[in-house]
Amino acid sequence: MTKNSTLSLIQKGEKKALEQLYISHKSEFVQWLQGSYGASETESIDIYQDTIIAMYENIVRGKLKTLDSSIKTYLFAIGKNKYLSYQRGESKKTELSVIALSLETEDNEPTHEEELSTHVAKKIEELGTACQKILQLYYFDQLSIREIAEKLGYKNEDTAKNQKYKCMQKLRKLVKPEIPKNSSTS
Amino acid sequence: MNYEEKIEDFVAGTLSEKESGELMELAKVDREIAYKIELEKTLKKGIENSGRSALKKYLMEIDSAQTPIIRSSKTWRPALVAASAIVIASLSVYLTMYGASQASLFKDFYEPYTSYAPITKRGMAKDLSSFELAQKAYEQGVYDKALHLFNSVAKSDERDFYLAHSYLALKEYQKAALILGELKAKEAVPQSTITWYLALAQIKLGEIEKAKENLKYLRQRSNPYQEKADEILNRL
Repeated sequence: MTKNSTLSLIQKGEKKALEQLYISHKSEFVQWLQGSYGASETESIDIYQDTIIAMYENIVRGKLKTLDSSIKTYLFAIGKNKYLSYQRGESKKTELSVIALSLETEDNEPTHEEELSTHVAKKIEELGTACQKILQLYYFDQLSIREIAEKLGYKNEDTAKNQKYKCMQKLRKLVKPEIPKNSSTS
Repeated sequence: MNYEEKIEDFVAGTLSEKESGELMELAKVDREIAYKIELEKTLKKGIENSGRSALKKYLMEIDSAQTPIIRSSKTWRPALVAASAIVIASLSVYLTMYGASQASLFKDFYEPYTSYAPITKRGMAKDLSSFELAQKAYEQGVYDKALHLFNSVAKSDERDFYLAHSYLALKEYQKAALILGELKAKEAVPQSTITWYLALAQIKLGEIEKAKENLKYLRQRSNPYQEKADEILNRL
């Protein structure tokens, strides 16, 4: 499989392609981070996972469609930044959240907004697996309604769209009373 | 299209440029609309965080599904691969002659659940909560202590998940299967890991049809246990 076909498969929501990519570079990445920067094995694995997540987000958001360099070079470049950022202590504020390392795709944002999104993430857990899945596929994995309908086995696009709408309504009801109107940012 | 849908599309980036402009103009004079837009942005960020968590769990599941051979150092890999080949060859002969026994299936595929959870990541917290202490005992392989500690903390899906794994490691398969079955029924996450270990417990208990159902579930979906589930189904 070529590097660009791997990117294309991941972009289409093929988790198997992401899994293969994750496994194929893990050992070398972890050894490199340990050897070059003195990171522990646990830290290296954690940074590697966050690196893969950052790469995944860049792919599904259309920011990474093709690569001139190798996937390994790309991963190691992100990984290096992530580890240096971690070392500088920039990630300390988000240490409790396993995944909330600052991603390349994110801008610096006010802390209270991060807190709100963490609060929302907790509320999402109350929605149940079906709603979690459809919302994540739409907003995080960036799949279209048609792709979601196929993936989750809905009868048609309208059913999937309706289900997504209901889940969002459910989430709004859960979250709205706890977010005061003066918390909004312009 | 009502305003709620328009705002949702605007935040998702699927609203047309013209309609987006109109909405932003409206938000300047209507505080309710402005608030709804910000609320929608917050929801989207929260969902994205939730998606990252789910993906992180998926990657952790891939790690925990890896066999010790894959995780071993490079120095030992060739020897281990060779040894595995001999074991697999011997096993094939055994299976051809005697068929797959439930005991051997369990033994071949069961490994205690390995977590790369927060307790061991990025340095050790000095003041561990009761749950973290229990988790630490589990990670150190002191399963009876882990069981005792998990039983003393408040009930949650995560507590039950580890409780079931402690029972499994202590060979109390009936109790493990009961808890894992409950977690699966309420669609707790990580669903594929729960289903995988439930299937293994059921194999050990001789509940082969139930185990097959769970393995088929795993085989039909993209998850780290897909290939192993297929392998067991072929052997059952």
